[in-house]
Amino acid sequence: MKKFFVTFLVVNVLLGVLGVSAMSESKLLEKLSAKYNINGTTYQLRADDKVLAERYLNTNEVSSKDADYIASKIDEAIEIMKKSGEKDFTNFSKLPASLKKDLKKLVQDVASNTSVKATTAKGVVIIYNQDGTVFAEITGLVKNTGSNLNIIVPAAILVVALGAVVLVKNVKANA
Amino acid sequence: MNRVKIILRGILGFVCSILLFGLVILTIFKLTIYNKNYVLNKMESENYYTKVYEEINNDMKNSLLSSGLDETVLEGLVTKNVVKKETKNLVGSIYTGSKFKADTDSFKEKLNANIDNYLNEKNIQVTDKKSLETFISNVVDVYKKEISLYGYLEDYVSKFVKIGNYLDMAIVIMTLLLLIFILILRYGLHRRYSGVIFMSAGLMLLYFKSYIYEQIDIKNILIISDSFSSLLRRILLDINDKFLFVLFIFILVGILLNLKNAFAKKRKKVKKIS
Amino acid sequence: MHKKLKFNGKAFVTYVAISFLFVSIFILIVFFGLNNKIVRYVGLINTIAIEKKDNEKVLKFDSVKKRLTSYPAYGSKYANIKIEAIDLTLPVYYGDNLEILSHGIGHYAGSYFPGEGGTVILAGHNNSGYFDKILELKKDDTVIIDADYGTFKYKVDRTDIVNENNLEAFPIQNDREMLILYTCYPLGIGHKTERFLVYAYRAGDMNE
Repeated sequence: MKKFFVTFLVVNVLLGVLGVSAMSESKLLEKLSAKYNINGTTYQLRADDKVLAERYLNTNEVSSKDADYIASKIDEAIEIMKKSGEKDFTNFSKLPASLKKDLKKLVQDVASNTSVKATTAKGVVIIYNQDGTVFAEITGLVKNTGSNLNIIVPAAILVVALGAVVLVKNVKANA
Repeated sequence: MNRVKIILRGILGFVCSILLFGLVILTIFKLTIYNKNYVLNKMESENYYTKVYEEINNDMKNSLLSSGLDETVLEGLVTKNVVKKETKNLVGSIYTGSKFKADTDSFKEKLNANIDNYLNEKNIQVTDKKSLETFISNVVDVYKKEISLYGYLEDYVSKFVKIGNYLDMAIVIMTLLLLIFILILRYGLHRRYSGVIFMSAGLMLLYFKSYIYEQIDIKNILIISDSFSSLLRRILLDINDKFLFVLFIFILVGILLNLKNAFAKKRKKVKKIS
Repeated sequence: MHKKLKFNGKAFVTYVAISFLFVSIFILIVFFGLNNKIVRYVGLINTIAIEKKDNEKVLKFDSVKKRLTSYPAYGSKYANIKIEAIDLTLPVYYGDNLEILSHGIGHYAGSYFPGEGGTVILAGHNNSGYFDKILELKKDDTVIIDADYGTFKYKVDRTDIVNENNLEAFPIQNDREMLILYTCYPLGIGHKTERFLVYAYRAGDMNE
């Protein structure tokens, strides 16, 4: 079974962190860690992104209101990807324009409806904690590789960048 | 007939207010974001070139670690004048819709020369030429990305230019329509609505500024780089000040014109009686 | 003919009222017609409006849950790494961007913290005064992470040299606490395509 890691889902969680109660944190992490079959290819959250998601949920105080909202957006994302018929989501820039538009809108929904703070600077996506301190910079695992991630970053719509970075980071691992 | 006139006056008056409101917004954008000289002036006043120069040097120093080379290989690679020249070229390309290409050839040449000098001085033989070439490419890449703002604006250049082309046309059309409707109101429908139009437009600007602009946390916007963010914040705050100035003037002019029109109305009545 | 100018207050009030009426209609149109779009775009722009803070957090460790109760801010120093065998003491920062790595050792954010029972990944440049000496480490050498919330001891198990793109050499798991130290390899001029890795396992918590 091929394993593709979908960090896009992590982004949705990171973006929508405010909505999750302590009770549903583990549920949401479960949802994120689950395997998703999208058009014949299995996707799963990457281990380091799961660590980030868990840490973000533990660090930032969340309310119970948005848990369903985030979960529904994750489901919506999966549905959009399934309906597209595409099999390879590893390069956001190579996706069809209509699919990119739908995914962008989804990510924008989450970004504009939650109080997540994130920006992109010097080719790197930076996510902030609710208290204004930096939570993490989304970079590659191994430093100084010289091969830079091809990040598609529309400047005005930051969250799309998160989606793009995330999809680009998908890693194929042989089963 | 009276009722129809009243409704027509109302509609035209409202439309004129909207036109004036829209005209102000478009004109302010035309004078600021869509004005290359304005942006270049702001860059000077914000010390943008110095900030970018410092960022480039800092990033290049950081990428030097683990290369086995020291900071002397970076000497003279980037100067403030070069940053200024390249940034002006970038801005120029944005306003013409052309693709910007950073001048990396001379940068690479200098870097190669610096490295050769360093290796000769230290009497170091490099056996793995490929690793040195990769390192040089990485440093050139750092420079290229910093100068071109990481290519973030590329996706938006064509849209920006397209909007700019329509902007002039829109301003001309709106101005003409505004003048025509005001004349119709004044001479066709016998209503001096100039005060109403100015006051409404001023109040609309006030609403626009408070409802939309004030909700954006401009002073904390952070994107692409610290230098770019600082420039963007400065421009947005400047636009904010311009809105404030115009709306204040409009409301004041509106009040004065309404006062004048109120006086004029009384004089006409007096004439009729005699 | 009278040309007396008298102020018609009623007319003035009417004009002002009409102005406010126009503005009210405008507000209604904006509110009902464009509100969703405005809220959306304002929300998006505010996503990148960040009031940056540098909090000095007091780190506490929950030994039952095996998790920190609060984490250091990205870019802040939270520990020192000490390796007696190679006479190394360096600061450890949370995060591993190039800026951080110029100051000391960087902790990859996607890995666990010391004490959390998972993989901890620390990166350092191979320059003198950084991680150049980890190439000399041998099995059973002791590595101590002296964090603000506790001290953790590890024993070197093995070393390896891998290609920079080999992510499988950095397994992130939480079955067993593992420390991975890595630096660019080999030493010398230019960009290095390999990484020297030191794998160490938890030898016991010095607080116990």
